[in-house]
Amino acid sequence: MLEGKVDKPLSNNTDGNHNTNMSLDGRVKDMCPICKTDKYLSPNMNFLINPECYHKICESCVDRIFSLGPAPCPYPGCGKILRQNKFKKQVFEDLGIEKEIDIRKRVSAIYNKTQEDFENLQDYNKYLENIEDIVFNLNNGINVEETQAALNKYEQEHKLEILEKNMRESQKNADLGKYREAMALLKQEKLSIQKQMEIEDQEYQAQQKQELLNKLSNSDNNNSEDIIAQANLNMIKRSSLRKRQLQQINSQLDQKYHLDSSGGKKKSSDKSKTPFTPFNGDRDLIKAYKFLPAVAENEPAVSDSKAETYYDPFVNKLALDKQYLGAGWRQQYIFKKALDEAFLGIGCFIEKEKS
Amino acid sequence: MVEEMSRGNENKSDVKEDESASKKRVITRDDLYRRSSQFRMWSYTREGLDEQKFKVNEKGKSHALKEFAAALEKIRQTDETFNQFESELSADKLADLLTADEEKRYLIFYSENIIKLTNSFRMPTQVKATAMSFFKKFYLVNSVMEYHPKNVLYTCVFLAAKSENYFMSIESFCHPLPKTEPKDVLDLEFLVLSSLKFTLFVHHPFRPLYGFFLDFQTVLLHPETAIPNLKVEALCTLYDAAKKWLSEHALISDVGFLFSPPHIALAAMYDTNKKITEKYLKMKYFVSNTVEQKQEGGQSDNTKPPESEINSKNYELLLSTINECITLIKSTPKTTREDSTEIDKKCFYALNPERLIKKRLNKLKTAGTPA
Repeated sequence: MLEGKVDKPLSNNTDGNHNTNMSLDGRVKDMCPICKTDKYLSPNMNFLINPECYHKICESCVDRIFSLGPAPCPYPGCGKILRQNKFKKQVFEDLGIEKEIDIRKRVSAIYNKTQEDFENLQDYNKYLENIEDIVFNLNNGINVEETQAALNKYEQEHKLEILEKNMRESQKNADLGKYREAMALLKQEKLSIQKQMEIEDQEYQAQQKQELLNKLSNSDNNNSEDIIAQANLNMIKRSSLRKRQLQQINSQLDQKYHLDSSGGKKKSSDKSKTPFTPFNGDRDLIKAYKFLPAVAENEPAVSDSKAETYYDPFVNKLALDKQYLGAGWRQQYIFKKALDEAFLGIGCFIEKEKS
Repeated sequence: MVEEMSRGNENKSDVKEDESASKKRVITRDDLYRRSSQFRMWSYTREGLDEQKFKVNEKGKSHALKEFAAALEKIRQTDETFNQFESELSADKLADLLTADEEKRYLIFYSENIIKLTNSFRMPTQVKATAMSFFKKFYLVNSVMEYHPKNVLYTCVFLAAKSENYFMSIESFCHPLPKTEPKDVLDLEFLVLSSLKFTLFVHHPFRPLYGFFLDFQTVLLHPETAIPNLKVEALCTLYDAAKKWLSEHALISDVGFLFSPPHIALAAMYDTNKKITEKYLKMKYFVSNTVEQKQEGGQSDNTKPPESEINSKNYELLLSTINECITLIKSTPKTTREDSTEIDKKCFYALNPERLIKKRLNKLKTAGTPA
């Protein structure tokens, strides 16, 4: 993409005769063209580039040449004035990509609107397309001066807006960070409670054991088995109780944290509840029937016709079956489906409509 | 299964006319049904259905005649005595093809066989009804003079079992059937599918019937009993009887092509207990609808007087449709065994003209030698 812009020795590694000059290329790649230091002899050597001209220079050369202030690029025929603080490490091997990323960063710092700022997707896409055009122009050297001027002009005109957007983005990131922090805290808290309970349990167990021993030593032989059994039973009861306690505490904590963190999110979920329809128009939400509440679970079906539920002995009996309920079966679904189908097409008079 | 709408063209013009209105267009449950393949492809007016059957019969006849001509040609080349009797062997004198009416009676006989077969397999009603629907649809596209119903029937049942989630292996399906190999059933499968235009979903009246059973409870029993001394048990017996009525009478008839499932379900209830059903419909159309309209918003106030008029009109229309449905179901003739064997013979020769010609030829030969 950048072939024309980058100097010959840099684009060497993308040439066709790559394989034949491999050893030479490798040397060229690993050698600073200024001081001719080789990576082979000084493996600690690092290359830096400057986004002005993207010429590779080794770290020591940069220190040497630019420590006294801005100086021209030492590459023959380049001569661009470079500053030390602009030098950076090369991330991508292809300098074209490196350059494009830099441009992209610069442009997106100015054109920093997000989709929320647009009323419809089309406008947003146009905006993105515009950004792409600018990046492409700057990258490929098409109308660079005009584009740069336009970019600067835009920045001047929209300074406040850009700042505002920046603030918003950083706020968002901070929110995310906060949420993560809170979750970590929650986890810690849970863990510490659990640990504490375990310690308590152990103490209690030791105490119980001691008591048991005391009892056994005080009583006569016949009773000893009963006492042991009694003690075991107590133990089991207690452990299940403790488990339940732990669960309760956990769920309480969960609730507390979720209330804290979900405050901001609620807004978006309050949107209209019209179901999606693949058809041209919204689905009719007014039902042709009045739906009665289903029989409450765990309650025997009543044949009393006064009860405000549907009477169907077969289905109502299934509603008490744990196997069905466990699999996600609910009698309301059956009723709703049947009722929906009952009125599906009741107004379609085929004889009238098809003739 | 609701498919993409067929009336897309109409709609596009609508959109152009008033875009703002189309945004608020409401898709009613009736519209959903109108987009089902059952309504779009497999619903006919009565004349349309008869016409379709006539067309299929014509198609079958021409097919049979073509087969006959081919068989005649074959025998002419293999049998040297043929020329002697050629005049006696023309298609006009020999071929006795089925009329549309005979075809209809023949199919009714086989429809009864479907019920027997599915009962013997203890298949659910849903499968039974779907198999029946497939079978009927197949013979709205093809004639019995093209494909003999016996194997088509098995394929329809097997396919219906698959499409209604009642799986059974082809071996266990064929095992109890006399002289039937898995190949016989499976070979026809694609043919049946393509004749059905790959529309496998069928809306049956059975689930609407259950829905009405539930809604009857809502309307007639809650909050207070609409008919004195009406007990929920009475509705149960009504439901059971209506269900039986549907599987005994409605399945065999062609009402699936002519009426929408709720109408058939209501017809079943209306015929089993006229009093309760009529009361329900009246309450539904003249009481509950107005309640809904009130909930809808303020605009109903202006249009209130015509609303009730529309309601009564709709009620009349529904009632007449139901009555029509009942009479149609009741008038479906039953085909006797003798009748069907006679048609069966005809059908056999229509499908195997070679056998017919040979039989005739032999007869002529034995008659001709003494002379």
